[in-house]
Amino acid sequence: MATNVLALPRTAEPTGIMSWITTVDHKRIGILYLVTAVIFFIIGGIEALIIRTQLAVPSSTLVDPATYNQVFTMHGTTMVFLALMPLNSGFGNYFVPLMIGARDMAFPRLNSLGYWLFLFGGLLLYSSFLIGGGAPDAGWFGYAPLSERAYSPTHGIDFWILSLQLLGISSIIGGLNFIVTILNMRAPGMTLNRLPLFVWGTLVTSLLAIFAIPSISVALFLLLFDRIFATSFYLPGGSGDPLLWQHLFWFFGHPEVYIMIMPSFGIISEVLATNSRKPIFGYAAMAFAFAGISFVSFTVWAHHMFAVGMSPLADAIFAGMSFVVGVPTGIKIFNWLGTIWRGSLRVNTAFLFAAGFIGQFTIGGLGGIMLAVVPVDWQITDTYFVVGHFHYTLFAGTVLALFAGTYYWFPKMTGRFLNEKLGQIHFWLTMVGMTMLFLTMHYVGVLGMPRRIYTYGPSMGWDLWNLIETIGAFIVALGVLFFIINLFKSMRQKATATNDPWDGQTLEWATSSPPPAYNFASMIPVNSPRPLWDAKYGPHSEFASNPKKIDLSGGGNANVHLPNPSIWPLVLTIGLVIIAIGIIFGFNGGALALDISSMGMAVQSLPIAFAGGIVVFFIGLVGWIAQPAG
Amino acid sequence: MSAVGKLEQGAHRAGQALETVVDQAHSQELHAATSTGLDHRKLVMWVFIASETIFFAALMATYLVNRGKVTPEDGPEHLNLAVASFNTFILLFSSLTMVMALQAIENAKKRRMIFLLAATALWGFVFLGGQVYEYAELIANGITFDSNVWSSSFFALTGFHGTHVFVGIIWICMLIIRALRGGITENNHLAVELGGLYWHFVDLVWVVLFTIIYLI
Amino acid sequence: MRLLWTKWSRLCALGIASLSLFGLASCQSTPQDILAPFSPAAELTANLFYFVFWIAVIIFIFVEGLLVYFVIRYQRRAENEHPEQYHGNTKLEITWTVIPALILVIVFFLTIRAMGQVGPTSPPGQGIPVRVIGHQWWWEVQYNDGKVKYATDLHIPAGQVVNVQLTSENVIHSFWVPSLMGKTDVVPGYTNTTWLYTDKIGEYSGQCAEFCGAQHANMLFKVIVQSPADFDAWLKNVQTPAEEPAPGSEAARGKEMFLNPKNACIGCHTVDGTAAVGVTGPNLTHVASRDCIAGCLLPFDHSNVVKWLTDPQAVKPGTLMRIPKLTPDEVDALSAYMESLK
Repeated sequence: MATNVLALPRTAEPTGIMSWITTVDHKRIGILYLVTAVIFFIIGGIEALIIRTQLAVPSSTLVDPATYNQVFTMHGTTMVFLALMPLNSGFGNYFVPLMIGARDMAFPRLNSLGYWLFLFGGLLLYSSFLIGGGAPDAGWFGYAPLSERAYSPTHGIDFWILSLQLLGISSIIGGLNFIVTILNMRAPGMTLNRLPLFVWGTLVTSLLAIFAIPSISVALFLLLFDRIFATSFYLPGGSGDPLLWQHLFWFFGHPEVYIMIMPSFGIISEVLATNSRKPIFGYAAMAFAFAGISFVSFTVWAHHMFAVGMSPLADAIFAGMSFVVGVPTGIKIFNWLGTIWRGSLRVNTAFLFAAGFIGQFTIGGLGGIMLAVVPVDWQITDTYFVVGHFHYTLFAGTVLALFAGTYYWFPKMTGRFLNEKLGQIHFWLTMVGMTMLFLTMHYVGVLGMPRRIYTYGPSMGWDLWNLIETIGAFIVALGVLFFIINLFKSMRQKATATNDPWDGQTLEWATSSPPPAYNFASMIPVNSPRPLWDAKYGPHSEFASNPKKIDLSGGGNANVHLPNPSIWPLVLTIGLVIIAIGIIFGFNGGALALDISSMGMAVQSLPIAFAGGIVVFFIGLVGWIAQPAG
Repeated sequence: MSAVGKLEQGAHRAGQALETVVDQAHSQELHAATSTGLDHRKLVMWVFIASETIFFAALMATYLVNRGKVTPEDGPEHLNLAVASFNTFILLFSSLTMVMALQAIENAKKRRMIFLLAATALWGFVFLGGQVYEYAELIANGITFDSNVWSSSFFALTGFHGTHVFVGIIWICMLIIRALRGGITENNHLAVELGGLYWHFVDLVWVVLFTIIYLI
Repeated sequence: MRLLWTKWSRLCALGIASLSLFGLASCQSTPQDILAPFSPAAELTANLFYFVFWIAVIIFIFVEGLLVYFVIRYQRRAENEHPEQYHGNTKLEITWTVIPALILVIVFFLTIRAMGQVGPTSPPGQGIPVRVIGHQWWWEVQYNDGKVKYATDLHIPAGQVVNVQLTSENVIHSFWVPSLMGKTDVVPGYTNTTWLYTDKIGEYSGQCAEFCGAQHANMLFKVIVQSPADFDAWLKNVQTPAEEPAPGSEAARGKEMFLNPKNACIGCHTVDGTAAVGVTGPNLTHVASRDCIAGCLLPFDHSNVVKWLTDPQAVKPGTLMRIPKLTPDEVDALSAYMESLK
């Protein structure tokens, strides 16, 4: 009998496709996020391989510039919005309620809505290849005026705008849900200074998201108005200002990169502490560092704009704040070293990825400090030095942490272990390939190679380095292949994981692997950030001699009421997608529009799809409200 | 008491707490079973409002940087301070009726609440009417969404605000319907409080908008 | 243990390989190397880079060294081994907060000082004003308050400050010649300024450094630093009207073709002293005095001019230079004319 890799061991929840489509269970939604995001990660990775193959040799004609510009735009947009953010959300969704001892998230149906908006936002973006006249091609950062209709005449940018709006709504919804869940649904005794660090990471990330995303939302609306209503927010011909886009975008864009890294900081803390059999070193400093980094991250956005011609005073302020953010970041690095110091280290694959992260993220952070030295930035900004820097923080940072989290939490989610041998091969291929690929980028940037170029001449001195980077990219890809094989292979194994295979410290390890649908049938006292550790080994525990006795799962049959599944989030999402398509195609005539030019209004046509989408949206909303919350 | 006994007691209490939480998830109100003591929905409304603040702040910043880029004849001169002032008064008054509606249901006066909610929605409509009038005047003077960067910013900022008012009116109508069907009582009126929070926020945004567009 | 021996040997192998590659590659020329400065500004920046770079290297070696040491040293030796549960150390934590902060304060002050010395808005004086205009996808340069229009090669005299004014009527570009100066963006609606100053005669490679569309990769230029005498001679030459080709020569035939509206040249190009006054494309009055064409993608010589005129889209896909298909004879004639415009 073939094993369906999505079939988890039976819980109290029903099985079948419809049960997955209507699920409101945070664990299932977490799995949906993770699986979907992994698929987008692979697509983004293929886009990266196309880029690297094109750049492997000078003056290559493998990929024409129009295609190349679409590929690198989609690579960036996919990796940021469709891979890294949802992977963080996936782990957050699955584990935050468990780690705080809750039954589910505060708003289960809103949780489901967040997932559907993510999936359909991504599908909308990719449909641009087929129905948009081409994918967006103005970079993931879409600087105006290049992203305006005059210089990007196809619908690609319109698809980009609308799908980012949907994805933004998804992230805000997720952020709201996490904030309320974490603040309101903690187990008795779990004060904020006893939150596991992954929960802290998710909390601050969510706060960043709800405050940063509205800025890009406004930026995107104004660009949309320029493109379809002929306004001139960013066009100097109409007294507009291209720099308005940059400020609105980067006010979001800088906190965004912290949105991508902070859950990862949390994962690293969890993996290192558990695998060291020690508490995290300096818990309070770690929590304060999360808060400090978050706050400062809103004050540095224009360090992406040192070359645009701002006043020296502005440059100096943003540089100063960029240096400031290095201090709490450094604190975290040193505290992680302190955690493993004199620990009892289980050096499995999860630990290797987490330990690797420490050194690799340091490289990324130090590169960032170098970029904050304004005159140096004037030479190395917009070069491959920057590309190397952010791929260190995002790949050698976030992605390594996500791999660590996967190997660490896979047994909890599936009851099976990922194969250690394949894991080690995956790890070493990644370390070698990643160094060849991204460290080299710093050097070739110093040699003057700008970014976002589809080719380069043979007399620039960049040939050898680009070739090394391309080989490195394929080695990384090979590592990912081993990882995927490992996932499939491990799902075919029998489910042998116990509740607490790693001798964990936090509550998710106190229930079964995987947890029952209701998570916990009972709860243990919480007097520190390590409630399970205290219950097992604390001075008042009589389980010190036999710590395996902690099982809060109630045998999987506890009579706990579960929230009702719901189809309405999906309906709502479809309504929004139809509205989006109506906006893209309807306002300037075309097949999806009703000609109203004879009515003498400024808008020439009424998008039918726009109107239809609103109807579907309202149907979804009414259905949602009418359904009992359960 | 032995450690086992303590653990059992703790687990029993936790189980009870869990049961209480689960039971109350059925009803419309959640009492102090949350860690902060606030109902989930009230907390989420506050956080949502915080997020919306940034949305309007970005639009306001756009308006402010574009304000000085046109001559008065191309836009600002044609603003109607009288209508906008009237609108401000209307919206402030609507916040008052909203507060009174909440007060009414807290005192078990359901019909009075419905009346006051309807009044609030009505003032909301009057406000939107005032906005339509202002827009019509501008358009009649040839100042449309795409005329210049000031007008684009003006219409975008007030347009998004008006959309929020419109959503608020629909929300209030839905509260009225719910109340008529018996879903809102003196012990179960969180929905009215949440609607009020949203409505007051939209009103506050207008006060700031009015100040920066019409007064400064 | 076996695992970690492999890690060590891998690390060593990687180190040796990298060093040898560096050795190999340093034979290649690197015309845009920011660490090969040819001006005081670029040199100051390069020194600042080295300073922060080595601090970063030391910090990395420290962190990575401790990491590797801890991972090897503290591996679990027995299954029920329970280490001491250190929760932190306030003194240590304060130390590793304060020391990085102090290092960063120093770096911040060095940053501010360098900004004053090499900032684009802090030229060491007022010298020769030059306008640089970003087009899609070529650089225009203008001298004498716009009276002299040239393209792709920016000639400047050695030993004199050149004040550069940057504008664009289309999208954002970035003006960057690494050997001489940091980059400054060219933003539509703004007039940014920067400056160049060097006493080292030579040719320096530059490139647009802000993504500007299809052919951003090939929006190249050169800064040609000449002795003041040579610069004056060059400037004088480009102010003369175009050379008249000998009657009956191939170049004369080429001129006729050039001026023929059906060939679409005069819609975009100017040749001073003729009826061609188009301004969308580069001024071609002295195109043969240039080092390169097609946004400096191709060096200026006969075969490249032929290549460009035969099929611009094949050379630079997406280019805005659109001409009708010409026969090889027509291309030869036009090329002859272009090559006569010294």
